Amino acid sequence: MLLVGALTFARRATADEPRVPPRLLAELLAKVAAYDGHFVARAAGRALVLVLVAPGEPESERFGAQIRAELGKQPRIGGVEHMEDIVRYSSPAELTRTCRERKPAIVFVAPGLAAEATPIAVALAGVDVLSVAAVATDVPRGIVLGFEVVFGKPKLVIHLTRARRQNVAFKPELLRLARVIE
Amino acid sequence: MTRRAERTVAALVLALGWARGALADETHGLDELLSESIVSTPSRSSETATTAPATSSIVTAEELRNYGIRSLDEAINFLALGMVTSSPLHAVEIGARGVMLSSDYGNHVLVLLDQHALNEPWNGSAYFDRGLAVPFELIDHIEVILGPGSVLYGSQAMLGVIHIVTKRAGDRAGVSLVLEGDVGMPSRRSGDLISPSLSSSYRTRLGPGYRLGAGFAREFQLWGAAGDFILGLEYYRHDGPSFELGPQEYGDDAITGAPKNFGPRAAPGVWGGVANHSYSTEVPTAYGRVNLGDWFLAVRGAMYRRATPYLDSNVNVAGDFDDGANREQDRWLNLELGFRRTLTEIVDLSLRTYGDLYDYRWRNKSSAAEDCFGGVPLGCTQQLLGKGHTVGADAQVRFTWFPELRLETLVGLDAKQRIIVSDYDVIDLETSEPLPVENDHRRMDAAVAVYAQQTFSPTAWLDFNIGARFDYDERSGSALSPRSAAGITPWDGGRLKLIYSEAFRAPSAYELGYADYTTQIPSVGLDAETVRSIEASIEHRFGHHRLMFGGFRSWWADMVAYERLDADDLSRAQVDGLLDPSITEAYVYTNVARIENYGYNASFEGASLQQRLRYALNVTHAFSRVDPRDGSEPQRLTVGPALFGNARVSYEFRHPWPTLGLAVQYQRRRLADRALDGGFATTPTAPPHVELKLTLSGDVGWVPGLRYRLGGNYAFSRVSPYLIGPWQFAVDETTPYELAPLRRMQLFIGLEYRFGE
Repeated sequence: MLLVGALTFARRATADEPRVPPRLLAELLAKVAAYDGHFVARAAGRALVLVLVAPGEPESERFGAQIRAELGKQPRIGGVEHMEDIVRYSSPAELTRTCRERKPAIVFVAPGLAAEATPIAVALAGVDVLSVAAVATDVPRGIVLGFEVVFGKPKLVIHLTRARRQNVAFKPELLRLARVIE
Repeated sequence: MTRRAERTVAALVLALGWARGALADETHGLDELLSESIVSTPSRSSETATTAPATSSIVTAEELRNYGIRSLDEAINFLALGMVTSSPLHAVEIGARGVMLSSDYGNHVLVLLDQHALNEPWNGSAYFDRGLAVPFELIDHIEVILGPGSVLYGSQAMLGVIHIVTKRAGDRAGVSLVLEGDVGMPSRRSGDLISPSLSSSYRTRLGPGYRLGAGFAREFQLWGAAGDFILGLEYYRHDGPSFELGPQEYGDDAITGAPKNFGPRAAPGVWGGVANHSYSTEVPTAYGRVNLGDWFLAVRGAMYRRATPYLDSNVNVAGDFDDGANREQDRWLNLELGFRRTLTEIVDLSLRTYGDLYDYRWRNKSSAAEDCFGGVPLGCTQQLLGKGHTVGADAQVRFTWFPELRLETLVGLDAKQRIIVSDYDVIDLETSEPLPVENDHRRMDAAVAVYAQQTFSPTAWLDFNIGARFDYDERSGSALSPRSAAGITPWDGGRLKLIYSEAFRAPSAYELGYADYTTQIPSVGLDAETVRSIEASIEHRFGHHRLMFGGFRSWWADMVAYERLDADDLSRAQVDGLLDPSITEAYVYTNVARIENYGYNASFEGASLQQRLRYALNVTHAFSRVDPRDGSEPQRLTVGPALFGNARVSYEFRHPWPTLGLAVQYQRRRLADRALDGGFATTPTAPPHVELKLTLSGDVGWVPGLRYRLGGNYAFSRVSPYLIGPWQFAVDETTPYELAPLRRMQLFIGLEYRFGE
């Protein structure tokens, strides 16, 4: 009965898509951020990473806790000290307000917000922040940086147009390593 | 350490130094991370190969293409670490780290297709050549995991686990077509290739083959859920090339007293000639997978039909020469329905239910009276049918407790029921009536297992993975398979692994039940084979480069062997009605042998010049001895090489020029299968095997969506470690032996077209 109840009422959150493990995601992000020419200035000495999760989505909440923990193990992100916080997504306007108030260097969008990726991108347009998604499918929807698994190896996906709108200036040597979409 | 080992290590260190220099201008830390392989097999979750609790290597679809790889055994031999195959021109044999158990039909390696076990339920067989029967363009990557892996996967995973991971629909959206042709070049009895000509006699000796494939994939929305569908269809066939075999003077038939009859294509009393009709393979296969929301459904249907051009100790112990109808055939239908859901922030649930239908047919015709029970003068046709059907379910619950400590608990339950049917018939060619040979058997047995795995990272540089699986199998009783692994990051880019693991193989239904009233009685009280292994490895990553060195030691016990009955057991079997009273020699499967082995694996891989230049080297060296436990001294293992490896280099030229891939595999000289028990005056031994593979691949620029690859293989060696022909055992010191030929040279060309690109 318990199992049937769980299957019936638990929200769907998984997808059949191989994902970069959170541990590797955190290590990658710590390196990639250094290739953003504006990152150090944006971080202002201590980079704030906001992990955006879908409230009530178990997988999203869990991923948020995992990526916060993994980012916390990184000595530096983009060469600067950092701190992480989890934010439960409610609306684009609220996200814009949060970003303007707290001035995060990175907004990390957890899985479970695919349907909100485009509104999130619109909300962050003109905001000086690097938006990052755990899955590459969120990048065409407007997230600046995402990660995918290609032939069993991690790959970066970058939305260059969105990057410019959010004052993210990736260096050419990074773009050479990434799948770039405009 | 031997001189060879010292030289290997020195070469790797030199390579390390060179690669460091080559990297001076590249993006260091990020390159390291982007070149990490992501695996899902060792702990059933996504993790990097560096942190996984196993020694593994990954072969990607890109590498399969760039190096002209067209079957799993080629991928293993030319690209993977620690495993190696040997081809007797039928189902290839596989070994790892110096242990290859000839005639095991691959049942000491667990083969998974998207987590679904492909080893069939009758004999546990798995195939590694075209008989893998998976549409090749569907493969995304292949994970080759070395060492005992029963902790999460149960029986069979003794030498290791090979996991075929297919592509997602998004990777191949739309329709694609594949057309590939190949030709095997004929050789003489000496192994020399025959000079090409346009003559009909030459053309009839060529071995043409072709592969047709089609794929379809799309993503969709249904009932508010995201879904995708991917389907691959493939048909492969080859006939030939021909081989010059023998002649082996056999003499008279023991029953008729006349020269033994090897069929219409051989002279009386003599086995051999040109085998033009008896080397073929045919593999149609289809695999489809649908994902919808949390659910998935996978279906595979396939057949593997093959004919082997010679007599050997494995498939055709007797039979007419060059009879293409003497062949084997496997068929599969695999279904799997699964469900995955994250129930809470802590709990993930995964459920799978599966059903496998399988049958195997073997047909062997011999025109010789002495090959047939009862001495029928015109010979007989033997037919073996084995069927194995499985239905089972697997439930897993994963708990993610404390992300800071990476504390995860995996608990699983696996249960299955198998139905096995075996039917052996011998037909008198004179009367077309079946001979009175009784062996048919049927059994139904169940297996259930529980397993658990705990991962834990008390610090950022230390990871533990501890697990155990308890199996109860009605075939052999219970087995406990623990594994404990520790991973340490002693410096940036470095990784040290320490692993202890155990595995088992329950005896197959074939080993338990096969009997034929004339040569073999059913076994009684057969236990599971077991293996224990310890290993340690150290690796260092820098930029796109990775250097790994690992040592291992393993102990194998209760290995199932095909033993000859002594006089007392023979009499008892005849009294019990298990053997015909006239029989003077018969066999039974029994647990006897032990194996010990130790050695090292080393690998180096990297990329330079903006990753256009890629290269890798894999080496395995092992010392292995089998103790037959019959009072004799421990012996070397046959067929498998003690030292083997591969190297490869590819360069991606700028468009429109092709990508050039060159791979080479090496196997040190090997004892032939009958080297230890054949009784020959000189020990049958196959020379070192060196094989090159050169491939050009790229896009056909003037037709968008059309890609090509072409290339060839060339083997410097001329024979493989299998005795062929009727002389499998020496009668006296003058008895000659003949080693099996191999396909020395093949050429291929293939096109792939993807609509809409």
